[in-house]
Amino acid sequence: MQNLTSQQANWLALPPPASPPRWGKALCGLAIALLWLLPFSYVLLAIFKSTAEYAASPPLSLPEGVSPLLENIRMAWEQGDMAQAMLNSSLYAAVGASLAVLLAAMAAYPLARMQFRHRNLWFLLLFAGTVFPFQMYLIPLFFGFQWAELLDTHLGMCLLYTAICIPFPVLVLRNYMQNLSLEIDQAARLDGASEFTLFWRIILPNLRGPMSAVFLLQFTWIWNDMLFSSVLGNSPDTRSIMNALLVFQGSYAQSGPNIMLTAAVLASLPTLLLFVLLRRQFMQGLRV
Amino acid sequence: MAEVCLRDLVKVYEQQVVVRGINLDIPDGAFVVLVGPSGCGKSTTLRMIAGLESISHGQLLIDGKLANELPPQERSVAMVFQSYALYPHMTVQENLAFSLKLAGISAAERQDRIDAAVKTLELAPYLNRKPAELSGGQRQRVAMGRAIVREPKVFLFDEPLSNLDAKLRNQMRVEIKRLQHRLKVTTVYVTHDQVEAMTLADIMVVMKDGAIVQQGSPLDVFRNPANHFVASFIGTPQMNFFHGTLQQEGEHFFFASPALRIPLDRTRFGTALTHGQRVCAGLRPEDILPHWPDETPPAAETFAATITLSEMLGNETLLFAESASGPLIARQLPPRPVADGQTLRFTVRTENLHLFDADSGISLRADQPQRQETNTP
Amino acid sequence: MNPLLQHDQQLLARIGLAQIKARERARQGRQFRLALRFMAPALLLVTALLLLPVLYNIWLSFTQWQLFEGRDEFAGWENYHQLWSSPYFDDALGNTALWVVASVLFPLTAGLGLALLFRQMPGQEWFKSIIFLPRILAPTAVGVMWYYVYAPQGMLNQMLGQFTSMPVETGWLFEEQLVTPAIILTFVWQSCGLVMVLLLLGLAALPRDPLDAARMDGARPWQVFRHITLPLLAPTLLMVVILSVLAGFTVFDLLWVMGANYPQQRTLSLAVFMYFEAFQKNSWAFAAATAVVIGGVVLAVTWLQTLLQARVDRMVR
Repeated sequence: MQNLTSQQANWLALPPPASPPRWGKALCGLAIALLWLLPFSYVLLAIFKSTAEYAASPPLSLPEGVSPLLENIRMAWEQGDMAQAMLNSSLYAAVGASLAVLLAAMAAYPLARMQFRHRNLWFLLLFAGTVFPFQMYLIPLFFGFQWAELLDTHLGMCLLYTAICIPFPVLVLRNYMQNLSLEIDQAARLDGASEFTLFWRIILPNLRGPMSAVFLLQFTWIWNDMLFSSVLGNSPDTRSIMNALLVFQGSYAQSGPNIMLTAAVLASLPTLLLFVLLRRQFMQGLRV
Repeated sequence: MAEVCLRDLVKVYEQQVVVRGINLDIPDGAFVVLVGPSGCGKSTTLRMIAGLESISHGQLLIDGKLANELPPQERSVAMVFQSYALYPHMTVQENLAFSLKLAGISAAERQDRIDAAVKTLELAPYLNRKPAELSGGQRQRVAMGRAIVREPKVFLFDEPLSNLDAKLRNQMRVEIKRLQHRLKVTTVYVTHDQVEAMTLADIMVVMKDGAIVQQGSPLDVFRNPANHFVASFIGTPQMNFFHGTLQQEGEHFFFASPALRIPLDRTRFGTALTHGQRVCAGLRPEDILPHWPDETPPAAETFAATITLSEMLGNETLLFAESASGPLIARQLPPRPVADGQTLRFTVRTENLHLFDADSGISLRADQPQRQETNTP
Repeated sequence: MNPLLQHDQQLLARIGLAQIKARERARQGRQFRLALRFMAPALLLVTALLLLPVLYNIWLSFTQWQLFEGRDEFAGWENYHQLWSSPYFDDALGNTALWVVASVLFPLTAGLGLALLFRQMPGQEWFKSIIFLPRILAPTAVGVMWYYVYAPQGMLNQMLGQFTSMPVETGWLFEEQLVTPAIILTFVWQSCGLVMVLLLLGLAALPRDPLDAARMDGARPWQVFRHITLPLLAPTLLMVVILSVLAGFTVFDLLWVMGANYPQQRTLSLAVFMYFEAFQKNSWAFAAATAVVIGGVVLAVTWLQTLLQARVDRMVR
């Protein structure tokens, strides 16, 4: 213990520097959280008011009762034509995300575990799909869908969403697969497994974590899409839920904010639910 | 069960020759150990037999059939990896059953084989656990079980004991040997640990720089190392080497060095000796004996050396000493108290003397076993 | 080693290096065909729906639709010239620049502040979730919500009115000076969460030793932060900045929903401008040129990022 500088001696003698008192931080955090929730609270209050009530009272006042909610829901649902749109988005998100993740895993497998020439170039080819902004796809896809008669079809939308959701999972799954022990492959081959059996029975079961994380992200993204739906699938039969919301906002503005906000809440419910239930998987997907 | 033949096996990796023309005939049911320092090509050779590395040139024959182009799936070869490579998402039972299911073996037969392996390796309490819940030794046994149930033609082991602690390693060594004796499957085992090689092998193959340097029974290789490298690699503690020259006096030859002067038996060293040849004398620690004044006079000359360190192992003591010819290690049984700095006189067992040419490292013994045609430097 | 090398050369000459190479290439060829079978579906979809369209877009931007002849004709840089001289384009460009700056500055500072605040706090999981929640919502839904927050009779005006005790009826989304800042605020509210989480992850991954060493050397918390924490955080910060730039550049849904009643909506950003030209005015080639401009900037930024990222990573190690 000799030859310490006075500074070091002081540091050793004193207790560790106290961080600002815990409750101070907590209070601060609480204040910020409340601030963040303000718009939500406004929405929550509004959806419980009937149209007349909303118009008559200040926006942040408490609603008089709970009953208008049901009426608001009914009106939003019918006037916004939400039933069909919900169905559409459910289809697109479920099919698109799961197919994309599966195809991405299939593509990532040779990129991570096999050796062949220009392997990296092939990966870049797949990944190039995310590099360009969406604006560059819109017009060509519109023309292409027109020509292929895929415009305003469920099939067309599913294909599109799948394609867009492939590149990112390829990156994630490839990185994850590279970290799996290589010798498992070799052991499986010696055991007599064909390449596809290897992929399906050995590699895939070990990818459950990243695959579900990435599935959630892509599902949410597809559910939230408005742009592609409005360009490539704008008919009432094939609209996505957000597209329907947009249309609703544009045409029924006279319905009153309480109805519109109810519609917005309804449209967001499924993803909200997913987030509440599966928060950890969402966060995991970010660790990429 | 099958013979394995390696004929002029070469592996070239990115213009570098990694395995240089290996010739090896492995009889059916033999336990062959490939041993050598890291980078000597032993693992690569093993993987070429398995089909996990492509063969650049040469022939691999398994059971008489050319196997070069066969994919690993079709070679009927089972391998135990250094890291065990168990399927992490499957239970022990499923790990064992996997290859059998792929081969389309009936459920009844599958169960029979698994039961037999489980009994042999004492895996019964672990059948429903996943690899992550097992200790290193348990995982190792599952890996071996996975190989056994396949009833392959050849067993391959790639340094399977490296990841285990010393005690477990010794236990598993014995188990592996017992297993192989019972099953009588042709086995190729790779290790860098010469103790494993000595204890396990029927045929020990010493490799260096991608070539076979010597092969034979362990005792053979131990007693008659073909060159300096093998002599230094096999045997713990390492053999002692002393530099010196050959001197001829009439009909007799002597090894002469500052500390030692040893008469040479012509029948052992043949006609290859020339006066003035620079040589390296090799003596194992057990062949250098401290000579106490109260003992009967020794057969050969004694020389002096100063003790620098002694390691007491209980049944014997290793004496580290400094002589006029350089440092040496001697084994002393039974142990007697020795002090650092003490000067003792030592004698040697001349019948176990090895001589190596100082430049080429090749042994000068006349009774060298027929060596493999290799290209040793 | 020399005798070995000599021997190797003889060996290679004897067995023929060329032959070995040929066999290796054949093997790799087989591996490649196998790999192709796995990659095929993904490659097909991505090429057909993502890559080919990009090429087509670029080609399209160099054509002009001849109304009377009913086909495209190669027009060189005509569209780009028009772009440059369009007043709407200038405004849109200006607004986009504003967006990029704002979308880097505000979420970063706010996110950093929040991350530092929430680093060791009881109940931080809840707080993180609340701040992150808006990120899950669709920008469209968020746009609808905030449309009514900003409405003349909406929440914001009411709150302001209570503070100033005078009725406030600003049309936040209808006035030129107010519309972009207002939407930027919404954007920050929505994207702070992601920035905060990323920064938290980055902070958690920092090595402890340099920080402890600095404290031992007598540095006060603020100095530790400025001279040790921030530089070590550089790679994460860079990634966040790049993500923010890209996000700010391609914002669309918010602008489309919240700016719906703003007369000059198409000037709100380049992305909106492009959509407007394409699907409202049907000037396809013109819009394609806009898209190419957007794409070019995004690519340049991404390329810059990869360069900088490598260098910053090396600095930190």
